[in-house]
Amino acid sequence: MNCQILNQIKDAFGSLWSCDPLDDKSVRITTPYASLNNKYIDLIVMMQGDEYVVTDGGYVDDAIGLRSSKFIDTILVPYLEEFEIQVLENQKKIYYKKTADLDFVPNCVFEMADFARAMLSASYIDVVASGQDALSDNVEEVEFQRRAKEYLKDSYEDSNYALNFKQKIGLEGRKKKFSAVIATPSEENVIQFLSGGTFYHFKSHITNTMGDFDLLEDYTPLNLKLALYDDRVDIYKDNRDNLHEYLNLLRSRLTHDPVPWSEKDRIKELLPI
Amino acid sequence: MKNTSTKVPNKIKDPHFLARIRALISNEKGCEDCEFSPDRAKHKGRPHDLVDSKPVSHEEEYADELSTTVEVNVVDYSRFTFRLTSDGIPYPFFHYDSAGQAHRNRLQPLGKGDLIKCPHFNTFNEDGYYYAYRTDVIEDQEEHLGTHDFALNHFFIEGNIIPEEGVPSVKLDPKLFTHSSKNPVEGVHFT
Repeated sequence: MNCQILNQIKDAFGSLWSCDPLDDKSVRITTPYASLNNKYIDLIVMMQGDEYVVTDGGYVDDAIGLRSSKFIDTILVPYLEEFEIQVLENQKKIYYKKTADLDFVPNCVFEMADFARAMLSASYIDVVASGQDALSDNVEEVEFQRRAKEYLKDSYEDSNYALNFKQKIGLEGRKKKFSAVIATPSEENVIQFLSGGTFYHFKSHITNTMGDFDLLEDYTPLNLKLALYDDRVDIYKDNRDNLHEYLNLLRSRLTHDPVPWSEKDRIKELLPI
Repeated sequence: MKNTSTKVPNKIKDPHFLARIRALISNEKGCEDCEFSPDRAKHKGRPHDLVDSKPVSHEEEYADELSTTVEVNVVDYSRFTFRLTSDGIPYPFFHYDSAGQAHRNRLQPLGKGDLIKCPHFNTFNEDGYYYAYRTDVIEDQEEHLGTHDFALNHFFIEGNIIPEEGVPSVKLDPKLFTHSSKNPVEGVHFT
């Protein structure tokens, strides 16, 4: 291996640069930098009098404009300060750098591209902004909720039970929401769907469910307290023993052992149609 | 509606989920009312993009409720997006962008076909990877794709959506939309 390899790399990166004219004073430059969600960063370079302006044209604000103030303070502001990026309002926020010196236009492009990429990537990760929402935003969880819901609908739709999803039950002022409530006129049976995109989320769902059932301890209409967990998903398979420690803790709040998805028909035995 | 951006995964790992998504796209679907009049703001308080959605019918192999959404930018109506969405899939899985940033197809060699400019389609390939592609129509008839109706028809054909009556169209209220120059910061003074 010698440094000839650099030519291969430089040629590849270099070929990603491109330029399209926009009008007689501006061009759009596509840079070789792409965000975590696979968008190549482009910038507008324009002349304003004697100065060069390098700007995002407003799309960074489109990506981050709805983020929380925590996101703005911890992620956006440090970049603006470090790179001395300016901002103006024109229906949306437009970020830019200016210089009268052609030698510094590449610096402006370097810093604006880094800034735009960082903002788009951070927004995509949504670490700061999502907060509690992160618990329910994951694909595998949403998909499991859907699968479980469809299964219960297919099983109980024509039965004498009333089927409700994401329903709050409990005493007035102390209601908690559960994935599925299968009710008769005299009692309510709860099935909580448990899954997660990460170990942390899966575990949190289990422990949150424990707390929710605790709050309903003196709610007498509650009959069966069941949990249906996703044993098909990779996160479960990779963390089986750990998750079962938590499922065993949860067991003390349930009326029956937690049911894995692969044995979901057990629910129909416990709640016969 | 949550104020979080939709996070499209770079790869769908569950093969059943992937198969369902690809079937929803490739199976023949119907559209009863395909006249779109975008007039609803996509995000409250940020009236730059207006949307309109219409239901899409399909065989009951899957329980998804499908819709086509047309989204047009008010400041520059040549920037628009068409999406096929499902109530059971928490992100767009087949969409067309008329304008915007080039997409990076990570699995391609850098600098050799990985940069896909707009307009392009975005969807998941047979291995579950999210990627962008340009059709022959895009390569050969790009100038016609500036017309909303032409582009929407192309989207319908590519997405296997068959209009039951009439021709798919986009009606823009001239009071709501303008076509500014290609430069989104034309006329802006940078202090």
